[in-house]
Amino acid sequence: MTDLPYVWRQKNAYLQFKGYKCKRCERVNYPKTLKCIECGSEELEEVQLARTGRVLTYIVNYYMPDEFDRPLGQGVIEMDGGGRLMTQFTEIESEKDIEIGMPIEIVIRRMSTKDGLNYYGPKIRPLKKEEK
Amino acid sequence: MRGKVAIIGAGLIKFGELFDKSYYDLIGMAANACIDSVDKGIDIEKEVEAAWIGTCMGGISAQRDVLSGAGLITALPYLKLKPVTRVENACATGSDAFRNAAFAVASGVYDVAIAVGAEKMREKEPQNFLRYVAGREQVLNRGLIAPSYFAMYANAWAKKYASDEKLRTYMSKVAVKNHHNGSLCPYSHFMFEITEEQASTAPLVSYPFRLFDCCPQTDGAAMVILCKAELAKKYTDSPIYLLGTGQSADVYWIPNRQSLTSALATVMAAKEAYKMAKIEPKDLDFAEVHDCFTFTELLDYEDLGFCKPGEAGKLITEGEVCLGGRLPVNTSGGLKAKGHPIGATGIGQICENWFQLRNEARKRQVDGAEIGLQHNLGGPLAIGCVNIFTNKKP
Ligand SMILES: [Zn+2]
Repeated sequence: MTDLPYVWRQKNAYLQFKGYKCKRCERVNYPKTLKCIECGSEELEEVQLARTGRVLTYIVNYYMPDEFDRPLGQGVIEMDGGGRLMTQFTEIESEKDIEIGMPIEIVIRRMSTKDGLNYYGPKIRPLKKEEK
Repeated sequence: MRGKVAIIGAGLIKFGELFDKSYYDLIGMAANACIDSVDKGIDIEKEVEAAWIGTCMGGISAQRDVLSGAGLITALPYLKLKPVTRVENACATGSDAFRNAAFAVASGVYDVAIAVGAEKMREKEPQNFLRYVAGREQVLNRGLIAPSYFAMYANAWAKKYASDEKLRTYMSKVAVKNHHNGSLCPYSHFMFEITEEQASTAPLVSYPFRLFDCCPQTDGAAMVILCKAELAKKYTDSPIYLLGTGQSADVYWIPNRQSLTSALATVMAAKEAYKMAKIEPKDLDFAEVHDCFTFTELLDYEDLGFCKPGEAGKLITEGEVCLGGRLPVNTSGGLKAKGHPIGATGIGQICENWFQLRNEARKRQVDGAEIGLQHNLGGPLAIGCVNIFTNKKP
């Protein structure tokens, strides 16, 4: 099974971090969708999501198959100005490096390699004190 | 719907790592136990008119699939050429299969139907199972496994209502309780007790969950026979009746949810079931709830209305949900100890309702139980299913 069509359809969301703002209810959808998840409208406009946001919740996986980074942090985040998503953390060593409400930024990184292809997408990077 | 459907037989096998039994063997054995439980007997071939089979992981978990209703005929040849429907609905697979069988009987189309649930979770290596789940996507959701979804809610709940330390204590107490109950239940995968110390120091799986916060991978099967309520006494003097049923599906992706501290799929399913049953949570004598992880059980207390939001810790700390308490929860050992063979889980919980409401639960019996509840929460907290039963004809 190839993962290409599904990733290709989301190339703007994954590689350029675009969101899809509803003209009716103003909800910023992410990734791309036909109908707004809030109100069902199809009038969605592609917008640039902010690079910074905050952590709504998180987890850190310790028990993973060998090909995954361990421990593997994942979080639900809300971007400044709207847009919520769930993805992996980068540059964390344990749950001690993550806190609900902490400021983060999105960086585009390699998420996986499959059948010789690299897959890129947004990862969450905690902002260090001097960067806040 | 209220009181229109009765259960006249229920049976399950001892859940566990059943390497010497096939998918179909498990179903056949559960069917034998179920048929034996019909007090006045039943001619299954002649009297059962339709069947629902709940099985979820089919091709991933077992060597052979039960990918359609026809799979059930392999296990139970006496159902040949009858209508059989296969249901898959994440961890609510079994309870939803039951729910659909109940609708068919309540509609008047069939007098007698069966609902079967089965899963073989140990046929394939756990690492391969995990690899499949974690690698389903290459980008955003890559690496998410079952504990991740529930742990997202656990950390949000701890931040809003307690602290990481308090949550740790509550989760350990749930693990100890359910292992204790499991030690009293002959159908339980795990029949050993654990201590709070063991639970709180076990290896981390997905922070904050440690090993003993997670249900095991378990093989199992369970079956119930449903009939039109007016016909129940033909089969037994002690049927149990379906009082209410509810189901709810929430948005699949967690970031799109309204709440990260309450599973609204449970809340809405419970609301529908309580309304139909014309009862309130305080009327329940016991409950079998979805405890795929210890925190899930805490969340269930709140979402099923056993306590107010944020107060789940009190119920477990004060022992109200323990055997002998005000509302014993997961007397069977729950998913945590009894096991979680996905398709069989919900129907196994209905079997525990059957035992409790017929005063057959022996060492784990809740004295004088008249109303019980069964609940599942499937997928990433996305599918809620609730069924409520009583032993008094409504
Ligand atoms: Zn909208």
